Amino acid sequence: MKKIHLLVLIGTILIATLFNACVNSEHRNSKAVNSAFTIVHLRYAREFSIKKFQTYKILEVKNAWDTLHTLARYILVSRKIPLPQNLPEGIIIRTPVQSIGCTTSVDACMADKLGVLSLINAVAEREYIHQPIIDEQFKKGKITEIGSSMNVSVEKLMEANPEILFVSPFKDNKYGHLKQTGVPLILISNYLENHPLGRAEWILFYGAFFEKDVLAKKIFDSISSHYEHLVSLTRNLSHRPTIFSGKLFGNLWYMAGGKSYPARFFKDAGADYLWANRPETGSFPLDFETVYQKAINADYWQVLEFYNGNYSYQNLKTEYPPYAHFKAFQKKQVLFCNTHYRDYYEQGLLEPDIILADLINILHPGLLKNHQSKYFALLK
Amino acid sequence: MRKGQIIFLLFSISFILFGLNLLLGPVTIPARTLFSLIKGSVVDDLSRNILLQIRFPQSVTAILAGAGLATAGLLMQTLFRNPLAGPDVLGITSGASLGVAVITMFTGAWIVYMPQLGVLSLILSAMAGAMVVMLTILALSQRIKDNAMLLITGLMMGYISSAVVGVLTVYSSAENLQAFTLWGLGTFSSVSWDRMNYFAGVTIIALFMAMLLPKPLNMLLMGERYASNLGLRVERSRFIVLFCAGLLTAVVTAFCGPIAFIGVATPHITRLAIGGSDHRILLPANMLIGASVALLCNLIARMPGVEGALPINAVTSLMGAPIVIWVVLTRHKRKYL
Repeated sequence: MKKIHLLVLIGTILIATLFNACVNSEHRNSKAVNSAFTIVHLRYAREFSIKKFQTYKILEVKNAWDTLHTLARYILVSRKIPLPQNLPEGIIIRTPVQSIGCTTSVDACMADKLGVLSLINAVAEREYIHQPIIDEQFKKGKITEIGSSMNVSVEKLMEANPEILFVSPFKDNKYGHLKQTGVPLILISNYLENHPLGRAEWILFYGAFFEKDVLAKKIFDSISSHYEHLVSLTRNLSHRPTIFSGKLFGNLWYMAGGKSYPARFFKDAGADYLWANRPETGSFPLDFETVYQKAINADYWQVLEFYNGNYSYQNLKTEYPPYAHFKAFQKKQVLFCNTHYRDYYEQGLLEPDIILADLINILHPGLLKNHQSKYFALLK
Repeated sequence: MRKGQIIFLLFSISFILFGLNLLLGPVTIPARTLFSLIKGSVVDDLSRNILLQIRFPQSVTAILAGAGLATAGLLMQTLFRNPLAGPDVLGITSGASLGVAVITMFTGAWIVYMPQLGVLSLILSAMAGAMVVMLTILALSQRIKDNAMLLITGLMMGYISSAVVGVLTVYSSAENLQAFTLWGLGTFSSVSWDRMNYFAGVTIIALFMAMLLPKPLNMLLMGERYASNLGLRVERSRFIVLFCAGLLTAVVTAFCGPIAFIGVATPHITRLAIGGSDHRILLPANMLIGASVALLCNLIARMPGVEGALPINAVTSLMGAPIVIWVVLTRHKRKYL
């Protein structure tokens, strides 16, 4: 009896795997396998998926901390049709959504690109959002400020009552209390993507809520083809300058891991990142000495600083005098981005191609013709 | 053991730990290189810079900060006659943080980067914050005789300071917030040579001041009435002790950020080591042990031989917290304090 059970089980698994394999191989170009659904092929993003059914779409956000479960599943159904019977389990959203709430400036940038800024009726951390329309709408009283991204006010959110609210999920979810407002929370875990284009590809996820799938795809394709073109320029360069990044934070230097977002930029920009062999996708702490020994003769040093004013080599030296011993410091080869003036963390998410071009332009002068740097320049 | 022998032993331990801090680190530098550097012969640039610009100032900072915090802790424990008193436990460090928060939030982050004026205002603001909390606790201690109640009051003072800091951070610019957060992590590597004279100067003066206090401290330990019968001007002595402890907490906190547990835990190690509460030996022994504890924590945080490091406050807390728990558990067995 047990054997039969086992056989049935193995059989089922085999069939499921085969079916799955078929679906995956057929879906590379978003073609229909059967009338059931098509999977939108994502080239770089790993943290979400989109499945298109005849009358609805399923958007799933992966759980980075527990890969056996999905973090959230949204069922997107057009407003034009009556709600279909027997929908799968998930949060039902009628599209296109007509009002949205944003908790990060990234959401506002995405909305801007998709041309739906006017749908925003609630924002958190307005001071970091730079789109002028938001300011105008706010002055007209059409946008409600709902607090900070880590501490959204329940009452303000209920007052604005957007159809959906975009939030960044963290390991210990800080948004549980917002569920009582009835506003569906759309989890955006784009910051977990390790490939710069993976983060940009999230525009497809946003686009689905506004039925702007085609536009989103067009925007992403233009970003990715530019990015890939730049990578093709640096791929076979024989000279790859060495680079490291960051600064001391307390007694620790958090160095970007070899599989991290910055490490990918360095590789694609034709640089030799000194910690490229580390397995971390985030950063890891080091003692200053370790960095000092390994990076003392590195060609370039990348520094990002939020500084109101003119940041200079003198600032670096005053912060910690041994910084001045680095060869990159002495040869004035510090790649610098002042995030007070440049939206590296916001707009930059949708412009990985421009960030990459900035890096290439500094690391390999002359390779790009007439490039105007936007995010990174050599520190003066 | 006689007094001299104990001090010599403790001094040797500190000295060895100082040597280990210079010798051991993530980067391997042979002892030979250190000795040739001391002799004045030529060594390679990397080793020379690591030893002179990184490890040496860091170790000196750890010694002074450790001795300073330990002394502040001892003075407070005697003054309040409470074994759990200490810079961080009674909210004094939070008070200093509040002072620093006010100055960075209102004047701007540049203050942290300014070599002279900035450092001075940082010390003064940390000092002011620390003194406000200490004076409040002292005033309350006149009315609240129960030590446990006093401790709770101190904790509440700490909470109030932290809450005000929290409110300030919400309304400050991201840049000032960043500067303050950075300071709040705590580190012994923040004092480079160009700031060392300020840090070392103030700390050493305050430590000397403390060394002049064993007599009044011994009398205070016996109770205020007894002390005043012996001819001690209680009010004045109390103020001097308080000022000295406040200055030490403030200067160390201003330069290194809040460092946890060294202040409250060290005096207990010292009392256990010398088995008494005579401040004539307690004070110097405590300074040396404080320095040793800080050096040991710094050594562990830098994880010699491994590519990686730990936050300094995680190390001091892991070492200090069990000692405090032990004090609470065995309190009734001990005569002093």
